[in-house]
Amino acid sequence: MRPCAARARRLWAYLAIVSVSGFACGTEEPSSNKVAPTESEQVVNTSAGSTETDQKAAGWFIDATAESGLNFLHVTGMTEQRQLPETMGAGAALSDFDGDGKLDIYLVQSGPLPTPGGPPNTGSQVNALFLNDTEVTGHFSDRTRASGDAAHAGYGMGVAVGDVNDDGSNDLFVTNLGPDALLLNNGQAVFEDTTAKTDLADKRWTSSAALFDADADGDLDLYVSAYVDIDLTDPPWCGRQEDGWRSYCHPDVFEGLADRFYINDGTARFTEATQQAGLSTRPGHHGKGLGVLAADFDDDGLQDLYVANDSVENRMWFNVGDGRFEDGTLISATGVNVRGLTEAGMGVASGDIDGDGDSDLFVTNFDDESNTLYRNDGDRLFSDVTASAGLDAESRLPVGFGTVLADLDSDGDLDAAVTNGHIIDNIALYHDGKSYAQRALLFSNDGEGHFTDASKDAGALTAQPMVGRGLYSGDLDGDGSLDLLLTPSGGHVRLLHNAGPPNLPEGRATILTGLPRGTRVEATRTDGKRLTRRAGPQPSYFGQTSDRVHLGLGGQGLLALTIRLPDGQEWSYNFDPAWQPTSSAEAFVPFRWNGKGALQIPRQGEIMMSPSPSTGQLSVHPAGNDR
Amino acid sequence: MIVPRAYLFAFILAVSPALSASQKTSQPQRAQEEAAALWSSGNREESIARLTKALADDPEDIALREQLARQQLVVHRYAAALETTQAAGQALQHITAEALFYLDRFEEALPLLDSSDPTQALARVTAFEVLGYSDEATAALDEMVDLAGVDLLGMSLARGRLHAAAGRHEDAAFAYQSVLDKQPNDPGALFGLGQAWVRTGRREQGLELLKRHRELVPLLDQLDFALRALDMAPTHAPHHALVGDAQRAMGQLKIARESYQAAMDMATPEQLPMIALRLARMLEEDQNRWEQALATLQQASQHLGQDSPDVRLQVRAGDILVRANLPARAVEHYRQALKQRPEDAAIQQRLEAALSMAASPAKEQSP
Repeated sequence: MRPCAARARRLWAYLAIVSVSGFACGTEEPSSNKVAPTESEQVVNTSAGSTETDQKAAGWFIDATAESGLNFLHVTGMTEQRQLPETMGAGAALSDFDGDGKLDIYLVQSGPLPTPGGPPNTGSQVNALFLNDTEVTGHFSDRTRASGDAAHAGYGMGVAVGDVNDDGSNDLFVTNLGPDALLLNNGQAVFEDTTAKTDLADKRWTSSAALFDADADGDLDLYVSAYVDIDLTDPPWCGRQEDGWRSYCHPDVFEGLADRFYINDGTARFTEATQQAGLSTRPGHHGKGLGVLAADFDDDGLQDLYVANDSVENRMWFNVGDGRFEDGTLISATGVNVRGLTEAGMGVASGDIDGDGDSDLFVTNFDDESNTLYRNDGDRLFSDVTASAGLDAESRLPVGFGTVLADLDSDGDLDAAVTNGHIIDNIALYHDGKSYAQRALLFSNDGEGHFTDASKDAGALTAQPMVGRGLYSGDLDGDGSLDLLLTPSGGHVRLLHNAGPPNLPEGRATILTGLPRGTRVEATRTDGKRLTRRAGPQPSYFGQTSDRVHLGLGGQGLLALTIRLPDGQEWSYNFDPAWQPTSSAEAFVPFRWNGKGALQIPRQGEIMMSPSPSTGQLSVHPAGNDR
Repeated sequence: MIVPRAYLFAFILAVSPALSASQKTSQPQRAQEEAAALWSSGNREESIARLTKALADDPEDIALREQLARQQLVVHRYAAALETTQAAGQALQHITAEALFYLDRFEEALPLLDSSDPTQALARVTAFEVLGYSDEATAALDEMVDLAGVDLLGMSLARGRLHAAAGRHEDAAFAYQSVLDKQPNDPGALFGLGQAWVRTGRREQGLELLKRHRELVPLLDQLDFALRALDMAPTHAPHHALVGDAQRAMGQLKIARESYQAAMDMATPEQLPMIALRLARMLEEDQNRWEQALATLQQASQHLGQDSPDVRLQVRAGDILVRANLPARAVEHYRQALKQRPEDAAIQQRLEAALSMAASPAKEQSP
């Protein structure tokens, strides 16, 4: 037997075991998603009390799952029928749910497949909420039992987060194989399922969702992608018709489902408006959506939509105002790759990868395809620059899922990370170069959109293969660097502390919180480098990253900030070179936008910085020497 | 043209070794022949096992090793193929190069890919492209200009992509146009030319091409899916027919016919009629070759014989002849069909209509 085949088979056996053990936990408390890490997973956990130097020696990313208190086992409910939902994995979201300013973690669970006659979900396999501790930032406590309806028990896929009823707290929308759920937060991380009061209980197989202000009325509307139409009672046999060879079916076997769009009236009452918004697709031409991303691609102040579809054409929808969209797939050339071929779109990310100020687009795809980087050339035109950007070759063998474009080394440009994992658990039987569990990839950006494979330096991110699905970035431990959360298809969620890359000076960064989604932030560093970032979460695959704006300073100071809100208001701030939003004691100083033009610096005694009424600008002086 | 990677080298992966008839049959040669027979009958694993065993007995036999490695490539055992060729060193370098290419180890494959081999030369271009080495890819294309047997359309598409990547959209348009001149429905060229025109001031014309490309995209996906199915079970006749369906839908009639014919050759008696009917439909409706359509149906009927006739073949033959304005000949087929299904009212109606037509000989034309 070939080594990789052996590896995949061992993993299959492992998955079968965890599935069974998952069912066996039926009478335990809702947070029984906890299972001790298996031996194979205890590879790069760091020991408590290790120094930063020790951590750097261990690699760029350090597995901090154990000491973080995060203990969550995703259960696929894998069956002999190889039902497609079993291999999709589930998502997660990083957001502040209890209003303490720290990022918490919501994890989606799958569980036993809701097959008629199959094992019921007795409530043991539920979505989980882990809150960042008040005392120790970066340590999490399982608050699932106290979270009310956040302990949702559907066969989960994805999650979107946002304040849908404008009460100042972050709510949840969960997509399922089965009815979706809208869960409203009371501000203290206790949630109430209000789906019944809305149009949102879509019983089909939905995958990803985006909460964004489509009609510029100040509230968050909702786009939900649907995947394929399957019959759990009569799954087709795919793959070789021999014992052990049955495999998960290609999505081409199934019909795609139509996505849906809902308008929010501002009070979390959603009404479907797919057709009115111009977002409907013809029967037979529906996408098989897995990734949904809202971003202002044409820089007109309106949030556009991009949908990554699996094995059919992706869709770019340009927002033309008043909550209406037009199909911009053809003109933007983002529906297919440079060869004009569809790819199996999974995860999506956007950001300014080449420093020209606009949002570029990155999509992860299947094996024998590359992941695809679409460079925004302006005027709604995009170019597939995957190969010239250095992102093609390394992404052809693995199956890409979750991805982030994030400044992972805080040097001022957006790097790319991708988590990989095949969908076919026995793929090694068919192809001895492939495996179910695969290593993640990390690419470092040179600032101009050219990437170098930095996977060998990435430590725990790439050290061991996993059946990767979700990948989400955010500063979970409050040190200013972007940490990573990885969700697998079947297995333990992993939290990776970002210790910074080896052989690079300590990166400094600042983070802006509280900005409305779609806010454009331009920063000018003391070395003249300009950074353009946009507030709001990134979906990756089935979930969302932190919605905060992270500005990598790369050891430089900050000269100026310009904040352009979605409604067009613009605020500018100049900084005295003698005063910097970093300090020797802390790696960064977070700013909080108060919604009225003021930036607060919580760590420096709540200093308020407001623009001058006459000039709209403010010179910021050192703390204690302020006017 | 869609080219799944498994098929990139398919035509050189002839799995039957070129055996010299004059040579005395040795143990390894016997193994090769047996393996080839197993392979061609669809028993691919058994064939590989036979060769593996023979190679263990005679590890110095290069021909055995080559045949095994080629078979391993076809069934995606690329790592195994690498192991197989390793002991042969440079003698099997071309297969090593292919295995590395399939394993996406492009940097390692590049020095081994043979620039004098038309297929491997184009693979070099692809490898350079994937690695982001545009200048090297362009140089590799230039080297191919005088190479016999190259895929000229594939070269032009690659050149178009390289021009476009460098922002030379007028040059890209020229390259893509040269493809469309020969293959008007080539999706890659439609997409590339559409993009090039949008970026060179011909926005509306470019969008029209992109719309045409979009119409082809589902067909491309259909073809891709059919090819994947075929790859899983290459001796399963309906998979060849599915490929034929997709190729036909894309207007690639010549290769669609080959796919249908391959399907007919492999079909079981139960599978044969439906495949023959599909091929006949394409020949008649798309190519106006009703005689060949008729011959296809007759070939299938003869293959099925008297014991297991299929009424659909006779009915379709009659219909074709009616449409060809040869009702007298159609009558014979409908009568044959009625013998097989005497109570069928629809066939009876057809027969009566054909008889009526035949009674008006002025309308009937010579074939």
